[in-house]
Amino acid sequence: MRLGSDVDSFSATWQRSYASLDVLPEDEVCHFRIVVERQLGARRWYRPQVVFRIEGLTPFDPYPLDHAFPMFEWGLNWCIAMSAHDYLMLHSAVVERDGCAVVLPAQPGSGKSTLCAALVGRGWRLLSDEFGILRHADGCFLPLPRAAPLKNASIPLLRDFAPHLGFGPRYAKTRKGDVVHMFPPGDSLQRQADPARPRFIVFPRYEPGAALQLQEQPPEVAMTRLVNNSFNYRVSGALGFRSLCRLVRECASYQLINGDLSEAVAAVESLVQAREP
Amino acid sequence: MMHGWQLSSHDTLILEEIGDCVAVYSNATGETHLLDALPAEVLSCLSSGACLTHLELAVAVAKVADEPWENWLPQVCNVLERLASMQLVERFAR
Repeated sequence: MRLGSDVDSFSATWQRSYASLDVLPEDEVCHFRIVVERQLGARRWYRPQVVFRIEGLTPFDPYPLDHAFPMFEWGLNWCIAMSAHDYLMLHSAVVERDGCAVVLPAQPGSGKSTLCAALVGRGWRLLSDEFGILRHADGCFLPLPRAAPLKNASIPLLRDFAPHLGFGPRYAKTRKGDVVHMFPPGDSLQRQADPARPRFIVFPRYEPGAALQLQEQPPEVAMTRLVNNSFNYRVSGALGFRSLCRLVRECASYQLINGDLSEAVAAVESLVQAREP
Repeated sequence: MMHGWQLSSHDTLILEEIGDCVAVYSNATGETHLLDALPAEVLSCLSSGACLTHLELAVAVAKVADEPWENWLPQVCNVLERLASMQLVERFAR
């Protein structure tokens, strides 16, 4: 990605989030050329705004200037969702420990990002908070470690649960409520070229006050849920079908209903600890 | 004139066993279906390009189940109608 910006606060937050990434040479071919810049016009004097440009196009309405970082992150998600069709894209977080990747597919509001961030806080490698990028050739997930947006009540929860993680500024009243990003740990960024083989699929669902339930899901149920969860299943055609079949055959699948973050983390960790070598 | 059944024209199917079901992908429509054993067996019989009557399909299924074909005929007829509504098979005249 080639990124340019004239918004100082955005540049500072971006550098904090991705500080350990290597900068590519000027002539390196990149997937996306993105500019995050101030919106010109009279409005910039009384309510300054920022725009996201990709290859010179402006696909979104402007955001308030101080929301430049969440705009960039959501804009980059859009770019990936629109173009990464060489892979099967799941709406899921993916974390890995000891060579064992756990896929966390979920709908918005299910606590996926919160659980993902908590696992990262316990030392799991972050492959992705939003996109499970499944490679058709070998069934492995490719890392896409990015800043994970925590929303509303998740923000103080994660600050208490994993205070050692890096967190960005608070963005109040975005379209998704208040947002704070958990920055990707340096070791996850350094290992962004290392794919991981999935062993477990866990469908998380947060329900306030709910007792922990970890129930195995038949593979055909997991298959149905993943077909509906994928961003580009229909575009992927037969390749996507075969990749999903392989994924649900090679992984044990579970539904995880939880009302307590510590219990949810312990449940996921118990799966991995109990697996046969 | 007898009526039989074949896979929908210009379609090829991919069948994969998933747990207790068979996942079926239609190259023509891009749709994915999860089927029980009987409809999957019927599709399997037709997937080589065969054009079979419901009687021939009942005999083929009964052979797998090792039961009299008469027991299977009503179920096979029902399954064929369901598969037709999913655009996976179609009638033909022979």
